[in-house]
This record gives sequence, C-alpha cells and structure tokens, in this order.
Amino acid sequence: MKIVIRFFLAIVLLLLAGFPSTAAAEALAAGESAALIPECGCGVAGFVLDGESGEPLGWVDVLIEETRYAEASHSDGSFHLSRLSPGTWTIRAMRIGYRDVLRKVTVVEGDTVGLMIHMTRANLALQEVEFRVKKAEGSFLHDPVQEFNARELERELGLTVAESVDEEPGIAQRSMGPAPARPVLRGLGGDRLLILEDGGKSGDLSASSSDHAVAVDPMTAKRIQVIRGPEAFIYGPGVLGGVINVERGSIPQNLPEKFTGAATLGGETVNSARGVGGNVEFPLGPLGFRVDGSLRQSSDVGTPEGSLDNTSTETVNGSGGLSWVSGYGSLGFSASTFDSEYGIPGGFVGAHPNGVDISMQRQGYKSKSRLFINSKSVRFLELDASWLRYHHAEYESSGSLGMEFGVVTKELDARFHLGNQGPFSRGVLGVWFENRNYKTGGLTFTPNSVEQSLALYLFEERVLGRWKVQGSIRGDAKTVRPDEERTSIVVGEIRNREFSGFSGSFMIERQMNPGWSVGSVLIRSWRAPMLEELYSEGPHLAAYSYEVGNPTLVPEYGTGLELYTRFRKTRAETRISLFTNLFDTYIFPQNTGEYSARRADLYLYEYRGEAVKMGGAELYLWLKLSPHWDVNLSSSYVMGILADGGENLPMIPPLFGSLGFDHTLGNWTLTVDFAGAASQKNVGEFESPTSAWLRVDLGVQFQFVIWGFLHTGAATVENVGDVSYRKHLSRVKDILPEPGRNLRILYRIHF
Amino acid sequence: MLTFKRQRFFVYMFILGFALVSAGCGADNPLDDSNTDEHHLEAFGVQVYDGTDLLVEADGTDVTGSFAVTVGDTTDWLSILFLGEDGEWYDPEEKLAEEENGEEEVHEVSLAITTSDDEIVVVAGDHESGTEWQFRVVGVSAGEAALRVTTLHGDHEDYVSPEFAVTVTE
Repeated sequence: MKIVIRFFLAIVLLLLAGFPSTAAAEALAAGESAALIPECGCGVAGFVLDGESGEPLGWVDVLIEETRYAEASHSDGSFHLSRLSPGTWTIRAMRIGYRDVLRKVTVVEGDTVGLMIHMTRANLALQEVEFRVKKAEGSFLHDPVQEFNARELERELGLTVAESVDEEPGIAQRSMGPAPARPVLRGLGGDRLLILEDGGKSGDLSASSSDHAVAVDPMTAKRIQVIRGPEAFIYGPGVLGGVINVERGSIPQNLPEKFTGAATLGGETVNSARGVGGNVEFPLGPLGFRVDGSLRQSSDVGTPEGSLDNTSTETVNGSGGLSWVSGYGSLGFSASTFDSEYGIPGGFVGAHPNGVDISMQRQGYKSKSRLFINSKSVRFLELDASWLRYHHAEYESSGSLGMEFGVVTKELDARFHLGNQGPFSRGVLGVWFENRNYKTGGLTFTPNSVEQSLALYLFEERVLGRWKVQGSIRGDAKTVRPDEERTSIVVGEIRNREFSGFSGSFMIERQMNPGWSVGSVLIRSWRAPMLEELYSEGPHLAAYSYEVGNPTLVPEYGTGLELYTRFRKTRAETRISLFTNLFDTYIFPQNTGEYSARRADLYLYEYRGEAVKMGGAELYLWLKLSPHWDVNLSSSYVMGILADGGENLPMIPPLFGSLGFDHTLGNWTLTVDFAGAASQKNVGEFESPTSAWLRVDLGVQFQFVIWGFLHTGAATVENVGDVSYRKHLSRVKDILPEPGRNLRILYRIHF
Repeated sequence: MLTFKRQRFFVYMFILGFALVSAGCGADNPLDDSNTDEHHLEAFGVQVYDGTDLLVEADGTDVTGSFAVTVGDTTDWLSILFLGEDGEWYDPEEKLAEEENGEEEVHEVSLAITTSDDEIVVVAGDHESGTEWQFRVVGVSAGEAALRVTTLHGDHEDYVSPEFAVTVTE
C-alpha cells in the first residue's frame, strides 16, 4: 500500500510539474521514479524508461495480454491502463529496438498499481534480429501466440496480410496476382488457417477460392497475431494450420488518456503503388473513440520479363468505433467498410484468357463488450457480436457480369476468461454461434444456402515448475441448408446436411535446464465441409474453372503431431521442429482433367475428400557475431501426398531458406537478406513445377523523435538483382515471374 | 456474486450483441435486391442435324460424329437442337420465358459457332429460323479443324459445347 501512496504522490508531483521534462526524466533515471507514477483512477499506470539512459520512452506498446487492452506510452513515457478489475495481469511492453518486457502485476480493488518498465535498448544491431527472433519463435507451436506489432510490421508491410508475413519460417502465400493473396502455413491454407480481424471472422470468401481477396488491410493493423496449438481452438475447429488475427482495435478497449494516433505514407516502384493511412484515438468523457482509414492504389506489377497485365488494385478501408469504459468493463461498437477493385490476370492455365475484374465490398458492424467479474475462477466475461455484409462481383473483360456472391455473416461469441480453476491457472470457456446467408448470381448454378454453426469450447493452461501444459477441447455442430433440395446431374443430390464433431489439442513442454526446453503438441482438428465444397456448380471465371461440389462429403479430420526443441543463450539461439499432419478426408478441388459438360472450354474441378499425409521440418538459428553484427538463418520444408497412391498434393511450397545480416549505426539499421527456394518437382496433377531461385534484398530502417513525435520508416530494395524467379504457390507463375527490382518505402509519424 | 450494477451491465452487453446479430434479418443480403439475377440456358448437350440426319451429338462431354466438307463447298443448312439434363430436346428461349413467372418477356439468347482454324473451315450464316438455329460450314482448305457451338446470353457464354471434328478434303 505504501508504494501505492508513493505512486499517488507521484501523480500530484506530475500534475504540478506538467508533462515530464528532462528533469523528470533525470529524476526517473536517478531512481526517484516511484514518486512520479501517474494516477489513472484504478488499474495500472506508470512510465516506460530506457534502461540505460533513463530517458522516458514514448510510443511503446503496453499490452495486457489477457484482455488485449493496449496503449502506446506517451512521449513522456507515461502509460495508463485504467479501469482494470482486481487480479493478476500480464503486461507486455514492446517497441522496436528494445527487448520485450513481460511483467506480472496484481491490481487491488480501488488502487492504482504503479509500474516502472525499464526496457533494455537492444544493441542497435539487434533491432531487426529481435524482430526475426520473435517471428521465428512464432513459427513453432510451442510458442503458440506470436506478435507482430505495427512498428515491426513497417518493414514488411505489404499490400495484403499474406504479403506482410510471407517468407517467415513455415509461412508462404498463395496468390493469383498481387491482390488475392492468402497465407499458407506448413502447406495448410483455406479454412485450415483462419484469418480474423479483431478476433472475429473477416466475412469474405478468401478461404474458398484463390482469386478471392482477404477483406483486411494490414495498413490499419496494430498487431498481427499468429496463434497455433491449443489456443487456436478458441477460434475454430479446423485450425490445424492455425489462426492469423489482425488486431485493428476498431473498438477501443481502454479509455485513451488523450488524443493519439499515427499517419502513414507508403509506396512501391514495381507497381507504382501509393498508399496513405492513419488512425486516431481520443477520449470524450467515459467514451473512447477510434477512427482509422487507408487508401491504396497500384498499377500493373512489373516483372523482369514484362508487365503483368490486369493486376492493378484500388482499396478504400475505414472504420469508426466507440466504447464506453467503466470500472465494470466496456461496451463498444464499431462500423467499418472495405471496398476493393482489383484485377486477376489472364492467359494461363486456370485463368480466364483475358483476365477478370473483381469488385468487392464489405460492411461490418461489430460490438465488443467486457464485464469484469470479481471472482477468482472467472476473471471476466467477453461478448463479441458482428454483422458482416459482403458483396463480390466478377466481371469479364467485356464488362459483363460473370459471377456474383453475396454473403451475410452474423456471429455471436461469449467467452468466460477463467482464472484459477481446479488445477489450472488460466483458461477460456466459450460458446460461439454463426449464421451465414450465402447467395450467388450470374453464371452459376450453386444454390443459395444458409449455414448455421454452434460451438462450445474450453481452453486451459497449467504451469507446474519446469512443466507447462495447455489443452483445449471443442464441440461443433453445423447445418447447411440449400434453398431447395434437388438432384443435379452434375453435382448429385443437393440436400440439407448436418455435421457434428469434436476437436482439440494438447501441448506439453519441459524446461530441461535454463535455456533449453523440449516439448510436443498433439492436435485433432475437425472441419465440416463449406457449402461451396458441397454444392457449388458453375464456371468460375476468375479461376477459369468449372467447379463442382460434392454433397456427400464427410467432415475432414486431421491429426497433427509436433516435436520441438529450443536452445537460447545470450549470443545464440536455435530452434528445431519436426511435424506431421495426417488427414482422413482432406477436402480440396481436384482437377479431373475433364471438361465441363455445360462449359466444355473449362476444366472440371470437383471437390473430393482424400486421405492425405503431410510432414516437414523447420530450423531457426541466430548468432550474435559482434556488438553491431548479427546473423540469422532459417529454413522450412513441407511435403504432402495422397495416402492412397502417393500422388503429390498440389500447391505445396518447396524447401525455403533465408539468411540475413543486420548492422546498426545510430538510429539506422541496415539489413542484407538472402532468400531462396529449391525447385519444386513434387507437383500435383495438372500442376507445373518451378525452378530454384535466390533473391537478395537490401533494407534500411530508422526511428527518430523530432519535435515530440516519433518518426519511423523503412526503405527496402527488394530483388536487387532483378532476378526472374517463380514462387510455386503463385498461380500466375505459368506466364510471368515474381515482381522485379522494387523499392518499397514506408514512413509513419506517431503522435 | 454480481452486483446490481454489474448485472445491469451484463444485460446491456447482451442487448447490444443480440441487437447486432438480429439486425437486418430481412432483405440484408447484397443479392436480395440485385438486378443481376441472370437466367441461363441449362443445356447439357447439343445435336446438329443435316435435314433429319444426325451429324454430330454432344451428350454431356460424350461426342459422336464429325463434319466433312470439301474445299470450296458449303454444306446445306444444318440445324442445332439443344439437350437438357434429361436428354430431351430443349428450347432455351422457352425455358427462359418460363422463368419469368408469367412474364412473357423472352431473354436475348444468341448463337456463336467458332472454328479452331478459319484458314481451313469457316461458318456462314448462323441464324435463327423459327424455333431452330441453323448454320452452314464452308471448306476453305484441306485439313483438320474443330468446331464449337456456343450460346451467348447477352455477351457471355452460357453453354459451350465440346469440340466437333471437321475434315476438309480436296
């Protein structure tokens, strides 16, 4: 209590002194910090300081891991995470150039806990390494939640979420031109790797076809989480690949203390891309507001062998949210819009000869509420609801409408966040409901349908000495109802279908000695067929295929096992992971090699469920060569075959590796990265092989505080040698290679 | 135990959540009000007759028969009949008219016949005659080519037949 009083006195001093001055910083550095902690009503408040100089550190993301409440520290280093309920919380402080700091704090009813966070300024050469280490950690299931914060994303920020996380260990991107790119993790994509925005569905159709874009713009993201293992089953039953959650924070979860925000400018030369974005957060009485938006435009992509026609994009994205924050929790609401026009190139197998133009719009309304419960076993209740309206139209080069999709998705997710519960120390118990109204128009015979899903799930964690255990179990029921039951000569008997099943995961890890641990993750996934997989029938112009569903499909069960070990010391780190995934009925559209009866100019793709075996390995190595030089090496490999017959699965990435050197001069970080892949000759039927390639990127990053604002930026010359290379997961590879030499620039000012 | 204020907060949460999920239960799908509810030919095959003689047939993807013509010659008018999924003859315009639920409007459906090599064979005079579509084949030079029957609804393809072989001899 004494320290709380001292902190309270600190607030008084702070108010008297105004915002911390250099003198305040000096006082903080001199160890008088406890007397300067700001008050915020109740919760956690404090300062973030540079551990060496004692200077206040602004723009540090201070995050409560359990609730995802977050605030960036102000330019004076202060932060205020107000109106927290009593209990123990985990605080993570993150800023590029500094090592993450994790602290546990215990909030007592009515008190403000003061917290001084001293961040170790990573050797400047460590900045990029640190980023890579974190990313590499996330590529292993034993570190199930991986964070990319906005600062770290700056260097890699691409047009899409997939491009922003591409080439991290185990991650590749499936693409059909630059706009419709989607991540693939360990060879798993589609519905097996969920992409969420603020923990909820994005409402688009990107999981069902390679020409459908993800309706999420990474430019307005605060953080990107990659979640795997037991915790992923909170979000879905079929997540053997995992979950990518783009945290936009469109509904403020904490009452901002003052007006804050950021503005971003970016551009690329390879496609004349330019983009602008920004966000602001501010308080108004008990209400917190957030407004964000972005606008991007790009022209056709240039490659060493010519321009890739019909690949221009234009995207407008925006949201506005408000939240009423009280001592009991928060009630929030947001509205958002995402509008994108993009082209799909043509002229290759699996594409329309002249390309297709796609127009997609998504409107979303979401609510996010939290209620703190003063109970040891239940910490807080979280209720998320969303209503998403998605429209997608595909136009032929003549301008006539080819296909059209309309999807309305309604979600309701109630989660009890558990505290000490029996033998467990942390957990989530939840119930989830989704209603999906799906309609098609234009050149398609796919019936309009309604899909309803209900799930109950439980996740628990226990740390016992050197042992850490996580487990989850989830039960799902799903019905799919077409608007009419009929027999189609092409698809078969189109009828109502009902599915139910269990899924879950178990993880165990043991620390063998300081710095070395081993562990294992076991996963059992369950995925009901999507209605597109059951009933689709019609020409898919953008994919230049005639897709035929299969109403007799049974749920897809997958079993995953991973063994890993990691070793971490001050100057070196190694991680090795081996994994295998087995599917009883892996559902995928298979090119039958035959033409459609209705459209004999299009190949018939039929959804089939086949037994599949997948397996692979990942390696990560980091070495600190000198105070200013670091090197990192990573490699990943995955293979997949049909269990019966041993044919290769299509769209499996080849052996990939990267080698990076980082050097720092003052506030500048210079990077040299080599990335390459082996040839991929293990191809599926009707799929073309790709050759080995090697690419070099040069980059520079900076961060300065000028006039009280943090300025950050990155400039990267990608593919310095203008090498002509083809990524295996690109559908465009048959006609043109990947983009040529490209200067990518991003500048952001934080205020 | 939840206090009264917390209980009230709890109620607000659910009102907000359920209001959002139940919102727009009516015409909320973007395609509910869409004017692009296209009607399409549900053809599954095609037959081409020379008078009463069946020259070629595509039943689904099964193709039987072929065309033959000599250089410089033009065939008689060849008639096209479409087959539905049940294998019966099928008039696309009738079908489209029925789909209007009593409305007598007939949608524009047109025919396009394409050849793989117009230096070997060309198609002349494809048109609609009464309830039939007709066309003629002209031999240009000796060789092998292929011919495909396509129906257009507006300016996009509804039905595209498999390729039929055409042999042009001297």
